[in-house]
Amino acid sequence: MLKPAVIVIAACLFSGSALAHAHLKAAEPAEGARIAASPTALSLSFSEALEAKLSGVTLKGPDGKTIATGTAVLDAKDQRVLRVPLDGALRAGKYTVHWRALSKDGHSTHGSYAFTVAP
Amino acid sequence: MIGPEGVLALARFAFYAAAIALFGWACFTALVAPRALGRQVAADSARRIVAAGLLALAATLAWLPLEAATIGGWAMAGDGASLRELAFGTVIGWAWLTRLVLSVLMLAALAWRAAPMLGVVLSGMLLASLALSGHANMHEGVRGVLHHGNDALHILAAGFWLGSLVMLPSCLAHLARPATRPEATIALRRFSSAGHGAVALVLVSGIANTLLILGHLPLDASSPYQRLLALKIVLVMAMIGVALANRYVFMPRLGDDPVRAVARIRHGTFAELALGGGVLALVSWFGLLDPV
Repeated sequence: MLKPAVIVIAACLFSGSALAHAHLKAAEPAEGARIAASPTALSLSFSEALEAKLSGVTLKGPDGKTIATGTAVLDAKDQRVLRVPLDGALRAGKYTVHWRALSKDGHSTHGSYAFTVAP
Repeated sequence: MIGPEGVLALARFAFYAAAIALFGWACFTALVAPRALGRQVAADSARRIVAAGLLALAATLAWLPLEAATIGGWAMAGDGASLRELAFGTVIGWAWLTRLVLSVLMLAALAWRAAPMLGVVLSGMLLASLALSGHANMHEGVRGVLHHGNDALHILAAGFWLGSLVMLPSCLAHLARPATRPEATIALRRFSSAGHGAVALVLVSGIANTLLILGHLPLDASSPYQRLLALKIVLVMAMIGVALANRYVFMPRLGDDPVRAVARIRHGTFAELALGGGVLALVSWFGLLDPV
């Protein structure tokens, strides 16, 4: 009875701890970034693996209107990374990304960040 | 106004309580009690246990729309397309479908008075399937399998302990009657031996679970998750204290002064059940919190 418990304890002592809720770790374009050229896609890296179907972003342009994007998909190699292809080039101005993420354990988180296109 | 998360916590509490009552009932009537006593207790409690089965099904049915409401607000709870995506397109959705099928099968087994062992298997699977939708989903690969296995073990051991306590008052009632006393004494002894194992498993798997989820002891009072987990541990320790008093102080007195000893054990059982209810309430709530 004790042996599996020891293995379990050892397994968690020797690997990094994880958070069960998905927190945004990094984004491309990054939060607060000023970029010269319009990005072709948004990439959001989270702390946890996501459920593709109920995670996504809403992109708002300089005038506050929602900009149509492609469907958000998970990175084939890393389920913690959400990629959103952009249909057209973004003109100069400040853009806000509103994201919502559903982690595998059913907890949802959301947030927003902004970047600026300044050619 | 209570938010979607509050209502989801209530549904989780109802499900835990019902599933544990089902598992305890099945284990007691099929495994712990000798055959005649098992049959009699099963017949006496038939109506209550069908009610528990219906509660488990109702709480399961409410669970998915409530889960949806915590994700996308109350509007999403009534949106068929979103519910279908949640049910068929996510890990927690498949876990929910599993629970739905198992609760229907459990009710069917009760309605058709199936073999008691089938009830043990179905209610055990119903409890263990909770491990599919909890914080154990945070890990992948070998660590994920270990975490799920450990979580299932923790829930089953705790379910056996608490579920048997639900059955204990009727066992004690039979202990007071000369005709059923011998079999009730055997049942009490068996529960107490198996209880030692269950409590030990609860402790070991609980420690492993804490380390798997948090990576350390819940000592950070600024984290709501850790505060509630620490409170749960205190309640479990109190339950163990009462259980030890029942087993090593009052059970040995059954021979000399059975009436008083049975009364004491009954009081202790109700105290353990109240503490256990508190534990379930805490788990229902902090299982929804960010484990940081």
